[in-house]
Amino acid sequence: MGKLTNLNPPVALTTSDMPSAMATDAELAAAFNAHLEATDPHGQYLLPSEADAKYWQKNAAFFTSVSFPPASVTGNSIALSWNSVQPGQGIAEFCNFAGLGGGDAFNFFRMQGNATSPPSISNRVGRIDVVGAYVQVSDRRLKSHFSPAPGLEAVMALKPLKYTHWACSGFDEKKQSLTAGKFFALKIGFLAQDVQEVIPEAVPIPVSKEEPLGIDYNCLLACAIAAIQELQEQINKLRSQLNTKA
Amino acid sequence: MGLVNLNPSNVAVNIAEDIRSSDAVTAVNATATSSAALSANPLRAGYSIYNAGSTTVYVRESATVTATLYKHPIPPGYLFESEFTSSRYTGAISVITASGTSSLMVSESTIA
Repeated sequence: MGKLTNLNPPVALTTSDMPSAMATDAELAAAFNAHLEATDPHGQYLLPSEADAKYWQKNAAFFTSVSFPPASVTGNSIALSWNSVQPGQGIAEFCNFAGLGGGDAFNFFRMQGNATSPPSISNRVGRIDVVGAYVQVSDRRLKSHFSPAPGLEAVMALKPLKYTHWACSGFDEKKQSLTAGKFFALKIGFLAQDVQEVIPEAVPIPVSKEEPLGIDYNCLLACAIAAIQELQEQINKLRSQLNTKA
Repeated sequence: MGLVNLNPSNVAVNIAEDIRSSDAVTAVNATATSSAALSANPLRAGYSIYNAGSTTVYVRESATVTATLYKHPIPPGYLFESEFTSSRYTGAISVITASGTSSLMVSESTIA
């Protein structure tokens, strides 16, 4: 036997070259549209039959006003949820197949208007950059009513702790308390209730007693920097007094 | 007990590298009638056939070939290279198309 080599120049692939098991952009868009236009109630997810079992897509943006399950007791919010229990360890993974693009890994928006509008860059509230750093919106043009942040006094009132932090398994109605699950991580930080007394701006107000409190650690960072500045001022005063006596 | 000859061998071993001449390239048209792309050559070291035309060509290591009885097809734009093995094929190589004509670049290398 000999060797047969194709010396023809590569040919640009067209839609007709795609395997029949792979959906084209047009086919996927048509499937989405048909799904959205289906009479309510209809499934939360695109059914395999609606997409002809073709889920591959590229350069696709999917905006929907489909009703998702509520994320809180107050309603008017949505939860995107899926079963990540089996197989694996229940880890939800978010993948941005960016290809050769140099953009952020992920962008997060809080939008006005209807759900079919594409996101506007002015409405971005945060992003995860190409190396995983979370960058929060902090533009001066969106801030007003300025006053100095709490400094050394507030920092001295905080109680840094080392603790075992348990995952929450639910809310106990009888005890009116959150129930710790069986998974935990060793952490160093603060108790939201403690921080709330000292720097209430750092603890967002919960929507119900069933909601675990959280801490905006960026607030604490600003207070810590203010405290450092106060300390430096005290050092400078002491130095000045020493120099005067000398 | 075995008897072993420990004397040095007196048999001369001649190790020589095979040298081939530069390729001889000829343009050949394959048609719907069998024709010889290469005639028999006892010095042939190897050969290749590039189908520069637009019609599939059928090849056979024989004096004749048909479009239904052949060794392998060569699609347009493909290069066929004979495999270099310890045994060389030195006979005639025939080509044919199912219909129409296709131009071939036939290369043959010979032992120097």
